[in-house]
Amino acid sequence: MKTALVTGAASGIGRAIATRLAADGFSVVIADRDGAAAKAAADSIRCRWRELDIAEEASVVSVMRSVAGEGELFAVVNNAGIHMQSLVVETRVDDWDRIHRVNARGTFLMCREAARLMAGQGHGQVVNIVTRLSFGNPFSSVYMASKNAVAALTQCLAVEMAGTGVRVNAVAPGHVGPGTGMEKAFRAKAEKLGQSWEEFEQGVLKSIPLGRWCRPEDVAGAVSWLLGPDAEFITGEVIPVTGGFQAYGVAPDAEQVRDAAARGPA
Amino acid sequence: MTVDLSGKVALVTGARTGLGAAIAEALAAAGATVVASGRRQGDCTTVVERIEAAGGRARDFAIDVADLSGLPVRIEALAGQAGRLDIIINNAGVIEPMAPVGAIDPVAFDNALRTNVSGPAAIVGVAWPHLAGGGRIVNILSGAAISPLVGWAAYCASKAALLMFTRVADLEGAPRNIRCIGFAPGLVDTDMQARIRAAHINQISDVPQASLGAPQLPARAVAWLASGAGDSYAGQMVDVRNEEFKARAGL
Repeated sequence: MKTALVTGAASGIGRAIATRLAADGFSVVIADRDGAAAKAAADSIRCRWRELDIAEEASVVSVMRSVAGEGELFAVVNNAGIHMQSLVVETRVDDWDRIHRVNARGTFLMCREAARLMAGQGHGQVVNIVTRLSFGNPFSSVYMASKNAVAALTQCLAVEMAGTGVRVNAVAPGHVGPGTGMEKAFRAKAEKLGQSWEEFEQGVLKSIPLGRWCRPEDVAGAVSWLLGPDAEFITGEVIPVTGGFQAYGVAPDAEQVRDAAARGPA
Repeated sequence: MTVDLSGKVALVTGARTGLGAAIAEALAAAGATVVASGRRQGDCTTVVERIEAAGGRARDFAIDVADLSGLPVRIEALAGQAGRLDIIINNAGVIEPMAPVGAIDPVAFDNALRTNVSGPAAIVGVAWPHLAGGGRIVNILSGAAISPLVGWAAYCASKAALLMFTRVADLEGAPRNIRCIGFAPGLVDTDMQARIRAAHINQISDVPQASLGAPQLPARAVAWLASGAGDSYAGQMVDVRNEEFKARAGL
């Protein structure tokens, strides 16, 4: 059975990925900063778990070594991340460091240790979860900068590892909704914008041609595909999962587009 | 002399061909479970198949001894997957660069030191805590560790350094029953000797292939040392041509 380790997998997107990969037949390792939550999630999915703080090099090194000691590691899914909402002018450098320490530096550490291990195996995959919303997205500068760092890391590592049989890709979701850490970020953003949640949500949904929030399962599906047999020629890619959302300067009015399509040719 | 290594797990680096492959087979024949490692996964498939066909136990597990950043996690993975580690044979090594001192490429020189000294030392260092019940480490050395040879500055310097590492490791390990032994296998008929002949650089290049020994004899000597029977040679280098050694090892 192929082992796949998923970080930040006690809840939200990470848990959906872990659940999907277990259903796909992977031997999953749920890794999370909250050991008790990791154990509870692992009990429910019936898989292995580890307490892991990717912000700590020693934690990353020791978890990767101990998982490696249990057998070959087929895949690492770097999902763990934290966010904050604040204008650049009001952002304290401590907050910048805190977010980057986890999202950029932590994911780098995971990538480095995975690459060191997998190079010897002669195969393996790294999938980093980034975001497709990393354009001029107000209040999100720190988070988006950290995720863009991971997107760049993904592509550099993919090229560096290409000769070893190890592939490295990223999945970039759009607006991930209900029940995730992303939802909390969006609620904070609505508050910053002085909008009610309903008002904000309506605005988001209007910008998504497929007309709904991205679900954690949508992200999990993309990860499942990357780890599956049909994606063997895919490396160094950042796969968007956005329901058709595009980074236009002005968001398209999806509702009007849908109505026009429904009316048919003029 | 019967050597019994049953129940032991032994790592042999550079086990794809030549002396390393012969050592892997000798250890397996003595009952050890052998981890045969080459630079890439699959390098030692043939050796593993030969061992299994002879009724022994072995697996292929890639370790690139020159990859200092990857070594720790690879050795931890090996120790964890194997469940234990008892014997380490640091056999992998390079003879290049073969060049007069005035013509040595500094990067190639450094690579020789990394492959022949830093890598083996790193393997021992990472494995150290896993040698809980004691361990036997055999570092494959050469007369070049103590005798200078024209054109071999890198090889001589690296083997001399590995000899001194052997002595320090044994000094530190002896109280924990971790013994470290340097072994000079003599001139063996391997790919490395073919490259040495082709280099036409010193008297070793002039040794005809017909005068070279088969790797099986020094391989049996390594198995004997790995059993602990030759612990009186720990902390030093013993040469396969040493008559007392040959008699004791039953060669």
